[in-house]
Amino acid sequence: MSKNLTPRYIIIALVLAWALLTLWPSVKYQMLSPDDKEEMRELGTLESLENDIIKQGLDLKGGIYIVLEVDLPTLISTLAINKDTKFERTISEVRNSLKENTQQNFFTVFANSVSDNGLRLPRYYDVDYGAKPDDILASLKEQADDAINRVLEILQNRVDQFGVSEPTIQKQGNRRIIVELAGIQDSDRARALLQSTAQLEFCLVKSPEVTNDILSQIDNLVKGDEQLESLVSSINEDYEDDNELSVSEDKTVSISELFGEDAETSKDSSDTSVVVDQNIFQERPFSSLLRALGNNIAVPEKNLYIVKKIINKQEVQDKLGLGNGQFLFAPDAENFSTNDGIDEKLVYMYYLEKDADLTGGVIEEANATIGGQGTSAVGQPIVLLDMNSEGARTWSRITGANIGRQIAIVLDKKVHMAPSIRTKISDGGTMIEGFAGMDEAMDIAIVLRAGALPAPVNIIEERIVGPSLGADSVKRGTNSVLFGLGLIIVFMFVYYKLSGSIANFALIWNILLVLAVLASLGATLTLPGIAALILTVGMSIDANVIIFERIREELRKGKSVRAAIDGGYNRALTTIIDANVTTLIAALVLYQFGTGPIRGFATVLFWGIVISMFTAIFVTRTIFNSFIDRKGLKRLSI
Amino acid sequence: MRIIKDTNIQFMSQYKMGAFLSGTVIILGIISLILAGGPLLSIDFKGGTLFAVHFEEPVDINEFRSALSNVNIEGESFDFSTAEIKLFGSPKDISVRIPYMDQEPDNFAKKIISHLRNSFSGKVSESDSDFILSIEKVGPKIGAELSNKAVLAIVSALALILFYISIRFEFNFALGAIAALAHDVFVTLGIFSIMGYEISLPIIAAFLTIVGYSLNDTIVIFDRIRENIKSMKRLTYPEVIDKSINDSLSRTIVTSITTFIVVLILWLFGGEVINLFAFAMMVGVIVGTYSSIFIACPLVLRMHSKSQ
Repeated sequence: MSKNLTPRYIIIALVLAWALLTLWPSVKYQMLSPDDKEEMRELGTLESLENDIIKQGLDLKGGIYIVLEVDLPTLISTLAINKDTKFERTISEVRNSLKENTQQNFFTVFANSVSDNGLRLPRYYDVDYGAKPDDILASLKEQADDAINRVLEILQNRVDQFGVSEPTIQKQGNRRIIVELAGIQDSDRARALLQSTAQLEFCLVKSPEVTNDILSQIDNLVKGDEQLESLVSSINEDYEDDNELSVSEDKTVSISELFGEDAETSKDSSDTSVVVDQNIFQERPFSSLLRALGNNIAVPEKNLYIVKKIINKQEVQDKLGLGNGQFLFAPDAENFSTNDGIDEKLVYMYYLEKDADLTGGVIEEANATIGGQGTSAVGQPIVLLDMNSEGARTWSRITGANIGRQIAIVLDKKVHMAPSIRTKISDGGTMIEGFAGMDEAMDIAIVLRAGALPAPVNIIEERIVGPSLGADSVKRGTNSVLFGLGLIIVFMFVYYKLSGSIANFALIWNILLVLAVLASLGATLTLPGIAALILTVGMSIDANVIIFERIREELRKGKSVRAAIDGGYNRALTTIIDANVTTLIAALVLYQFGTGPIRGFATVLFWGIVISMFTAIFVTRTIFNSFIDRKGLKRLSI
Repeated sequence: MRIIKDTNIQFMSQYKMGAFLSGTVIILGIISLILAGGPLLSIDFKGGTLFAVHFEEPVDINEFRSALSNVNIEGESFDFSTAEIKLFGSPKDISVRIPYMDQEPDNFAKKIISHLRNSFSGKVSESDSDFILSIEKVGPKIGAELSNKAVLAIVSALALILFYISIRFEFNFALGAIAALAHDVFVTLGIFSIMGYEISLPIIAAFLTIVGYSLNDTIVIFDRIRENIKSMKRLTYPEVIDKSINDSLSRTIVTSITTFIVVLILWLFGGEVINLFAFAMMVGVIVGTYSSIFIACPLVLRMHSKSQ
């Protein structure tokens, strides 16, 4: 075969030049020092460079991968008006059913539940007169689709302001959003940023009389309910076992004392327990779990779980519903020392009006800063709010009408502060305090600016890779590839001599080309991707082994070098193609069904095989032919 | 250099030995699977939480376990000492797997980790990024979806491959190849069960790669059979198959060795995350090479003699 080889040279030269050009940014990026990078970041040139390099997956770089799902039951419930217990019951039924069988479609379950309970949808949704339930369901479905798009947009906004390099936020299917934040280590912060619905509400705190009343109602409920009573006494026993607590004198004012009831019982019991008052527990099992702090109620952190459990009981919720109130808690526990020097961690609890007087929709601007002199939060992180004119008017009316009362500033159902209203606020400017640190204040300002999510989102999958594990994986992965490659190169050289070197040359080009394709596709290199690269090495070598063994066979039959090479390649070709196509099928299926790292594996495997057919067949053949043409080989080193 | 000189091994007369060997391994695997109540699935498919932490000095597993026996999360105390606790590559790294709980406190893995930080305060790095190696949490819904997808992936890959081979060769060959693949997956699954290794998402990827590799191997031999049937009309069918296997034996050995070397290195040095993946691949390379010769070819032969 003495064909003109020039076209082959040109193709190979072009491909190789393209590969080098494509890989150049990655090489350049690797060589930059952190200082250089910082400098380029300031100049704004780093970003364009980062676009051209091979991206590393979260498993290599470290970072957070979160899958969020819109909480549809809550969304549908939020959209409803005139909600009654029948409606709430249906929603909670749907919720339970979805929990039991996770594969069901929300709307199917909802539709079934609606007809089972005889719920008349037009009653709850603001629709045109005469709308059929099916129309309403269709419109709810549409609103749900719309909600996910808004959630996506808002989350994008938040993450952009958070300042992560190359965040990925994408929709998966109709209900889910995948967020990938590379290099972020503080998962708590990221979660808060993503999950916060940024539902800001201003709710009036109910008066002590009303609060006292509801507490004793709950006390009575607990007393009447054996299950609850045993829950409370079980926690009581726990504390009795706890010597440190039970030997101390009770100096804390119990809640009943604050509101003027059962003061005597409380005194009698003063030598039994700090956290739970032994005797008063008989009379007022719920109140005995609480503490009074100034004018407010607090829950010792150890009692928090049981208190929440009681509050969430259906009977208690019904009572709260009648009084149009809700119990909400402060975001974090605070340390308080009692007189005898024992530290107790307490969480504030508030009894609030159920309906907010004003919500976060009116917020125009939110900024985190440090509280100045003359405010209640000197030196503390605070968030300053500015409202639009409508909001400012309402705010002014509320503050004016309720001077002396406490108003709670509630963010995502957590009470950040509940100041007493001293004067009417007319310009709409408001301050929120009660943050754990400046970071939190800044994040909350971000979520308030970006707006509230139309529905809460649940984290249904979360993967966090620490930077040290990622760095370890990169190091070990790279070393394994290099080591494996080294051994194969030595083996091929020893086994097939000069021909082996040609195969080795092709092999190295195979790897470089795969990397170049990854860089130009903007694909991500993951740890499984590195594994696929190693596998590609094996496959690529296999092609050459098949060819070389064939050539050896032909030579043994006494054919000339040229005839042996021609015969070897021609006969090996179908074998290689058939063998590779089946592996390609496996790679395509993996790509189709996999996500994240698995996709990374499939991508590399796919391109690795495709490229190996170019390097291991086309490139090596051209080299063989050029040797024969130039030197007229009599003996082949194989 | 040549490892394999011209050979003339009668593989087809050895099929009983192959059947016995494979049968034994598969039966042992099935027994182990039955005893374990099915394959050991990772949180990818079952839902749950998995985290790994790094200590500055080695920590005793029992001490670690007892530290987990009473973790207080928001006032409720949890006993995680029954969780699956094991070393994660080095004696300083420990991973914990907690099955999905019905009412999980929000972000509880982080709370367990901070509990551990307090319990082992002297042995833990100040910064969380050095302490926490990884946290994975998969909801039961995602888990169920992923297992459906994984099954679908394997089944559709097998179906597509069956289709391709039927077109390129004969249906007999396709059946032989698929039987060899099923054999490989079963053997690997059984070995995983015997070793007590769990099946995670990357392992499914490894299974599919094994499928691809084993096929590669089978097809190279089939290809030779197809060629030899045409050129060697004087030989009987079993002789053609034996000759084809012998003809390609040198390639089979060389490729298996090189591929085995790379996955062996990956297994030894690739790090904890990729370790099981590499193990599955190692088993796959051996079993895949074996099954091409001792499962796929004898089956093609049997079906051929039946059809005559």
